[in-house]
Amino acid sequence: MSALLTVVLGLGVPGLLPALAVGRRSPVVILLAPVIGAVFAALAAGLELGIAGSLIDWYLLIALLANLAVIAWWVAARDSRPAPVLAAPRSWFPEWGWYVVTVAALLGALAVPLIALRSHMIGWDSNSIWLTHALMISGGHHELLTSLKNHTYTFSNPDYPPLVPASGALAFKFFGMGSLLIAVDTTVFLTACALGLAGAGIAAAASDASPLPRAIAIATGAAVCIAGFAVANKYGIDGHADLLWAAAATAAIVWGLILPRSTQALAVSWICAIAASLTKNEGLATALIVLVLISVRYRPLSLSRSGWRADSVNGRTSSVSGRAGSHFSRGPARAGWWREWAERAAFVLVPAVPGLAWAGLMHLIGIHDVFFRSSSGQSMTGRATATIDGMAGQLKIVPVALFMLVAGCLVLRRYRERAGFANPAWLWVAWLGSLAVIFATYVVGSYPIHWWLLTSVSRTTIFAQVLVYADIGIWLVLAIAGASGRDIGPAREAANAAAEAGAATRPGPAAEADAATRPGPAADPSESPHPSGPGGPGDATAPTATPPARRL
Amino acid sequence: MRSQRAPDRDSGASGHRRRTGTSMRLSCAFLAAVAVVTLGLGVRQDLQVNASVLSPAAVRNATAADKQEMCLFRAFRRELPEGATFYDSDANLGHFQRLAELATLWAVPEQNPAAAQWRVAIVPGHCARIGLKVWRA
Repeated sequence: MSALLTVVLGLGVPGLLPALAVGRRSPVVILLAPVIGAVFAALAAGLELGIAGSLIDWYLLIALLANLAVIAWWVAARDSRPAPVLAAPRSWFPEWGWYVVTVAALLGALAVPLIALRSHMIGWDSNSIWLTHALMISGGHHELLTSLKNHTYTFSNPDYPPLVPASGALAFKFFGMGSLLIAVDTTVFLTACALGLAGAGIAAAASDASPLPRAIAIATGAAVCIAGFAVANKYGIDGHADLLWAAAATAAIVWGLILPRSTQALAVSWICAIAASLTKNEGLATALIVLVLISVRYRPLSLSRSGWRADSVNGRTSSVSGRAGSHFSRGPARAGWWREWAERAAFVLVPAVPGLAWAGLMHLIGIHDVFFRSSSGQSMTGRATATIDGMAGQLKIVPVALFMLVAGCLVLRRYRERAGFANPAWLWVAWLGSLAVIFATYVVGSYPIHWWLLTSVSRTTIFAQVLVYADIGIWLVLAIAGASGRDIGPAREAANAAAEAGAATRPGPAAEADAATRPGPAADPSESPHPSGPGGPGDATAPTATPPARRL
Repeated sequence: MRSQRAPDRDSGASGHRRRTGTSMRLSCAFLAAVAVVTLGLGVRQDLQVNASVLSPAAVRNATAADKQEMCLFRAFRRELPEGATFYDSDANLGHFQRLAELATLWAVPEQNPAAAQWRVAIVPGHCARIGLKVWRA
């Protein structure tokens, strides 16, 4: 109960206004608020280590500043906020009813694996890494710095990011150290929130659809939440952080690399990526991959005759050529080229700053990753073979996912395009990139490979499995749309076209925010070209004009 | 003849469209069934995990481990002065990690025995069959 109160009140309340600013009237708010609070706690731990002071002081300051910033943004945007222009499809069931159903389904589903908290399990790493770090953070700047630099604690991977131990330290601050289990339970509740965000993304995939696909999308999101805990086995409920970063990274991919592009989806995916990057080193590597992909998706590159050129999201045609001589000779084009790349870099760097800052801080105080300290003495080939065998043993669900991918692309491609979802290649590139990083770590790392795999491969592959479940969930939503012969996209696209038309007459930040943060992400016209041939699914209901893409 | 053939062609085309539509729906239903079964197996697996970790034996073990942990945690704070440096005399790597964790925020583990004021080891005792032995270096 104390851990639940920590997550709901200690982390959720300070994160509520920022979550409302991002999610507004959508079901993600309830799940996003504690994750934002945990990110605040992680930032506070970084400042405690890097400057001085205690966790609680920095936490309160960060929470206060973030909430003031949100209030200031709301006040500034109030005058330019447009009247509601994006009407949800008329239905006998009210929109708020769908929010209640979504939240109830997700929380209900998450309650199933959380029942296992009654077992009071504490995992090995939970003790030797996360509880140890939580106690260090509780002690303030000096205790944290000297303990992390103490070589006796090398076994605890001192360079690991601070989100989990900072949340645990906050729990100790609120409720004392009468039971160390409170920090473990806090981690598990945060994990549930992160998985819930991935589930909410899947539920949002059909948020503009008719009741049946919408209800099935909600049920699918709920099922993915439960399956995510199943993948992690007991590591999901004994305080390990592996499922937390995996769930946060999966949520970042669902919102940033699957759902149609929108301000809301981008913000949610950034927050999830930040959470993943502050949870574990693998999470940071994966988050960087995801952020690069999101950047390219939101600020796409296209291949022109003369090479790669910038091609903006909002339909502006760039005249920038891939040849340096041509684009440097044109002033406006050159400025546009620089701006495009600056935006692209900002899309990666801004959300990556917290995770990279922690890694930089570790480097500054002389703490290095224990995995690469010395050569293992084993052959690279032998390590690679063992790693492939070890990973393959954990990824038994992948053949099913690949079947769904191939069959889905053949059968459901048009439904996917009309729904505005991204090409599945984005998800699979992120999946492969993350696995490649983990594979390379095993191959060049210093621990004896068979022992290392035996003790960790079931955890390092959690992300790959959870992401695959999420992908299957998305294909299920599309398959239901296909089986019922109804698109889940046109209503949304038409609504977005109306929103764009309305927003264009009312300049200001809120105009865009209002349209973009409605239930159901906005359409992505560049990724949803309407089939021109007759007989395509949903031809009769297709919008007559492709809506202009949203300017973020 | 032409006016008679046109309806045939139309009906053939619409029949083809109907057949295509039906096969499309069947394909979608098949894909949906595969996805539902896969997700269903995932949900079932979680229920099995729940059943295993909530079995009376598993709960008993986990509760005992938690109580043992807290017992050692308090024993450390009772038997070692705050801020003391100690050397872990236990050769067991698991015990070593556990002692370092329990000492955090109270005492300072030392790698060098000569620099430590105290020696600590896990021995048979009253914390669920194990206990803490503390002596001056």
